Amino acid sequence: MRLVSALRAIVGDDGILVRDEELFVYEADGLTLHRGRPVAVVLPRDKTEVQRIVRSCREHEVPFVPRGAGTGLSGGATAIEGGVIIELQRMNRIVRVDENDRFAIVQPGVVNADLSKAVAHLDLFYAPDPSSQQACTIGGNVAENSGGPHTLKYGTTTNHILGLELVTPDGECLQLGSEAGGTNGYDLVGTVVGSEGTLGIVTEVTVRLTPVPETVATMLGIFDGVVEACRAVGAVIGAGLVPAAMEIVDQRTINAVEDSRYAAGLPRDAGAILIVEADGSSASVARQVERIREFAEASGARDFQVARDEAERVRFWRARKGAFGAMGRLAPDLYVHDAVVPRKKLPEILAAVCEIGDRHGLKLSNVFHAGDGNLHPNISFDRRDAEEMERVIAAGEEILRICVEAGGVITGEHGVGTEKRDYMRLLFSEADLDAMMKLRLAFDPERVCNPGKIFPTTRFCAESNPKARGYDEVPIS
Amino acid sequence: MTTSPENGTPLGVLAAAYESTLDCVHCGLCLTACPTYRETGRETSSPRGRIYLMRGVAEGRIPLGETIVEEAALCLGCRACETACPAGVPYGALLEETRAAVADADLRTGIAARIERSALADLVPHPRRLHWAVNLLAGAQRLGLDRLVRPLMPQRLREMHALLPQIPPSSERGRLPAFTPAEGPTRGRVAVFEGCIMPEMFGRVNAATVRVLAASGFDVVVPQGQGCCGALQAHSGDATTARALASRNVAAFDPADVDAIVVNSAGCGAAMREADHVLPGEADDFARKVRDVSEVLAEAGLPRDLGRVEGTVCYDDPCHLIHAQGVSLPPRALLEAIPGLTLVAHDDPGGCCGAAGIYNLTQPEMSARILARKMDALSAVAPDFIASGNPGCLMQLSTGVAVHGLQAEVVHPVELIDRAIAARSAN
Amino acid sequence: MSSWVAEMESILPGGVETHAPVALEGAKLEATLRPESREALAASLRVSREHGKGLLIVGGSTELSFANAPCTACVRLDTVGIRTEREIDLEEGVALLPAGETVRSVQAELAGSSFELPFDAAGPEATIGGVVASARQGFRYGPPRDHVLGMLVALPSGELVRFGGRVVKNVTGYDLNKLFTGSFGSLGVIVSVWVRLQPVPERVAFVAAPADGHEPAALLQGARGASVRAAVVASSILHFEVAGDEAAVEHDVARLRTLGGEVSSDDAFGGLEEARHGGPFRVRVTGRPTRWAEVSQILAAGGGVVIAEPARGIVRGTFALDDQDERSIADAWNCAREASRCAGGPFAIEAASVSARYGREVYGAVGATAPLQRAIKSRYDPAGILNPGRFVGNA
Repeated sequence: MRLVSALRAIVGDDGILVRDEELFVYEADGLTLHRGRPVAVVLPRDKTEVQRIVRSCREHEVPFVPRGAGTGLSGGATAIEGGVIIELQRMNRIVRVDENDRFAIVQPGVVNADLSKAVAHLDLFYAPDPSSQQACTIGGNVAENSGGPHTLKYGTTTNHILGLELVTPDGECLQLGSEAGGTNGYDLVGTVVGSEGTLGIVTEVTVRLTPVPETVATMLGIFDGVVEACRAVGAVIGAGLVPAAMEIVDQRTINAVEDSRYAAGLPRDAGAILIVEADGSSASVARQVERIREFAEASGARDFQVARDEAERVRFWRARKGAFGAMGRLAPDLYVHDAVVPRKKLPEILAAVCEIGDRHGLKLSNVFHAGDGNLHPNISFDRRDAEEMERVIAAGEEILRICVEAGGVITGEHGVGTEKRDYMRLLFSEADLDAMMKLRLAFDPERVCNPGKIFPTTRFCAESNPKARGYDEVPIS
Repeated sequence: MTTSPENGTPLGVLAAAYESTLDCVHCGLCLTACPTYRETGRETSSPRGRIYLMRGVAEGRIPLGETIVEEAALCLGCRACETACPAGVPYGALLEETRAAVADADLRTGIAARIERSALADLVPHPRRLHWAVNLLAGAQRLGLDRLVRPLMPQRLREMHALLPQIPPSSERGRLPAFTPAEGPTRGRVAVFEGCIMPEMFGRVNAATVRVLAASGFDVVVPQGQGCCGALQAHSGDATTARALASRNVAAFDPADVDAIVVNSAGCGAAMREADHVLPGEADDFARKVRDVSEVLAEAGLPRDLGRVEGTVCYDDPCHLIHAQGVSLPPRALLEAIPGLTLVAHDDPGGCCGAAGIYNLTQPEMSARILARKMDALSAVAPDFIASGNPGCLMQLSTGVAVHGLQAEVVHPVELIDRAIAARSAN
Repeated sequence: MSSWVAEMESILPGGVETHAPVALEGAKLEATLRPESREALAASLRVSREHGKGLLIVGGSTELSFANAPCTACVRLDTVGIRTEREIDLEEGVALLPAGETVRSVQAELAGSSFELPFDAAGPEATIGGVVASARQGFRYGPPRDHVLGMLVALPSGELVRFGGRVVKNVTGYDLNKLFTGSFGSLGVIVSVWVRLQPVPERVAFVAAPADGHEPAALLQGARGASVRAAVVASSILHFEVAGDEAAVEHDVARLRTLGGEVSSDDAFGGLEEARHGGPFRVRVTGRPTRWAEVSQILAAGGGVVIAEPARGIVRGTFALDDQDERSIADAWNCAREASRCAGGPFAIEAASVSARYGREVYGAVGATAPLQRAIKSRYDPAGILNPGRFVGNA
């Protein structure tokens, strides 16, 4: 194959994978529902190699898909239409850290948590903290505009990106933004962040670094029901407090966690627990804690604790962070949903989400970024069971519909990818989608960069045949 | 053999591993914990990728072919991924089954694989043969004969030879006394596991282990008839030999007679703790009693009147202690308790050093890359001592110190405690 | 007049005013459109496109002298009267605001509630749409991009499109909010905006300190206090606004006292906003915070009156020059360019007469992204009817 030899000439034998079994491993990212096999995987070491790879793909009219750690949950890094995966893991250098101007220039393959670790001695950190931060890359975070528990106070990825180096779909290399942020012209940095790798390949990222807060307090409120926990969240935010994080874990998740190796000694009869984190100067944190305690108790918290040490802090968070693993153990596959509703609608939406799960006979539980109204219903299932798969998909669609009806949106931090491309019409008209497509075409008129993402493939979103959405197996060549 | 991949009836090889592969939810949190992934950036060389390969083979979607054979060999078996895994996938067990399948299918070829197989099956489990072989090597090293025949060796063997450590003098290569009484009031009674390589290469560590335990108030017994734990054989896919070796040790130790079966080699300790998996129903009491020497000492507390050992020490976690046994604090607590000694942190103490049993012999290139990363982290701190509780790690770190020009002395933590005890009279 | 007026009148009954040519920002305007509904607005854009009529889009007309001059426009489109849905949700802290509404009126409406509108307006006339379209950034609330959650926009195709929404976290599709914020009406006409309101701080304190006699790094350090909401150096005085909970404000005020800061009861920022808004020739340099003093010096040495925001790395220089004197305009422009190099970030001419802007790129060096920016413009506005000439490269 001519393309393969051209790519091999660019990245060397060590930088390309073409065996069937190797490509098999690259058929999915963090979302295993959707799979697609690339024709080759290349691992460039610098932007020049990326440019040459892109040009080579263009010459051979083969699409390409940028990929970081493959931890994304919407299929954004899956080669759903085949093509070449450009795996950016080897571009993992922290190029420069500027302590005084509080920015770092990093390659896209740098792992999120590694960046914070590398600047910790300067009392700085990189604020966006997706739950996969120990593995996910900054490049992937830029593509998905990743969030995390602490975005309530600190914002999402887009609030922390000052500049980007972008290899465009025709192989040009552009510098967008600057070390100081600011734009001259359209806000191209803000436009590319969250574009799911469809507007080009980011080869360098200038990120803002944030001072580590003087003190952090972690609180745990135990409630009889989700309604009370949500009420507490509403009261705190309504009073103008901005905690660093506010997370609710529902009773189903508490029980799944308590049944697992993450058991944190939480009361199984609690309807919900609320984890709150406040940071700032020690006097301010003390005051925030007191006010949050008042609101929690007034909202019906039956217990409210403040972590006394690191061990307790870890224990409080375990119910939240262990949820994924605990639910994962219940069945071979785990579908982590993501949707957002206006915060005040959380109690009714949550009840409806549980009802949908029950009606479809699914193992479903909820954790959510309550301060942002960002829900994550987790469904444990077995993808080998075709009938159960259909129920999972049908329930997922129903959940998205009720969220949209409540004034919400279909993804808050995971992205659309392949997962939700056919639900885009729940939210957007043809004209809206066309307005997005205009942007796509300005960057990538041939649609060769990460094709098959974001935009719907079906004419009508009501189609419920899973085969129509590409859930079926891609056959081995 | 091939069945419909998604219909739940796998019939291919690795069928036994299949259920556990399903525990993986493909989240990828293991990726950065994996040394070979960090070096290569390849999904195929990551725990998630390897589990995907295993599942694919079991489901008949891909053959038990080149890629999985290579990856089964390239994996260090360090099990750092198990620590990172939120879903508790038993990766170490999956790897052993994969290697066994590869061995059964006779897919590993080449001189390295042949030497590995015969050394692990015919040499290491037999104390007398091993002792004789090590004697032979020591003599050859002394006379320079080994260097003489080196040009005649095949390339791979030559590379393996270059990594062989200097054999210690025969005075240090003895077996341990069958019984050593506690000093002062007796706190308890423990059995010490000697190991196969330990007496030959680290007799000084074994001797120190007994002295430190006795000084800390334990009667120490060293049961006869014990031998190699079988870990290396299990890791390389030879389940039959591994089972036989585990059986021999279960017979040699009497769990009811002692408070603990003390192991100073992390690799052996991990295997012995999991002996009940290898010998279901036969080794439960045995497995329950197995403890790392650092755990026993940290729990009992060291003698109060320790002497001083001056210097700084970096503790480097053996993978089979931190990841396979979940022990990381006790050794640190012990080192911190030694007067004069300062425990300093280095970056990534829980990352593999590249020793991984005989990995440094079978995968020298990857092993050297992983070791270089470890040495960079240690160089940045430049400690006087590097302490680690596993013979493979001690050899690998010693090689690293020599090759990368560090000034540190590589020791087992009990050796530093032994020195502090020896320095008591100086107080 | 021609057929387009009749067609336009059928869409905007009573909303089309033809008049003798009026000169504005280099354009000669022969008519003014005043659509009253968003549908009428969208239709008027379609008709303008069909007839190739360049539109100068205005709200409160407070930022017209920013960006390139829309020289080839011939019709004014006034957005102030467009009616559209409006909602202020004080439970969620979000609001859907018509583009034509003034910032001032929304702020007045919110007074006494627990939320405020995080836009710094240029004056009483400034509209929501204008602040967002020009990405006007004041001293207090930071760039509008951080507060915009969603938009309804009319495109030259005659379509009304929506992006984002009322929720505070959203990655559903491209973030076109970012593209349209600061695009100066060159891609579409903003109809309404979802804004994330900001909680009213428990306490606000104003502190003033002498800027002289302190190292620039020390002043920057002060300006970076966790609760310092605004920090501006003007005329050798450093003005701070500290906002947050009682304890946080106390904490930062105590730190600022070590810089010689004194708590004052009056809000100096209103006056500073006015001063900042001066002309006739004003440049804005955005750069690395640690360079703020050097950048200020360069602009001052070139004859500029300087207002700096150290923590944000923004320095503005206002040059009292004769805007007919090509030589002094060139000098000021070069001075801004030199300051921008020192700052390590972009610069823009924020205010200048049409003649001063003529033939100059107000965004300084746009560089290699110019073709991409042109491609974006031509995708959304292929006929070039929206604020023609106003954006980058006179697109």
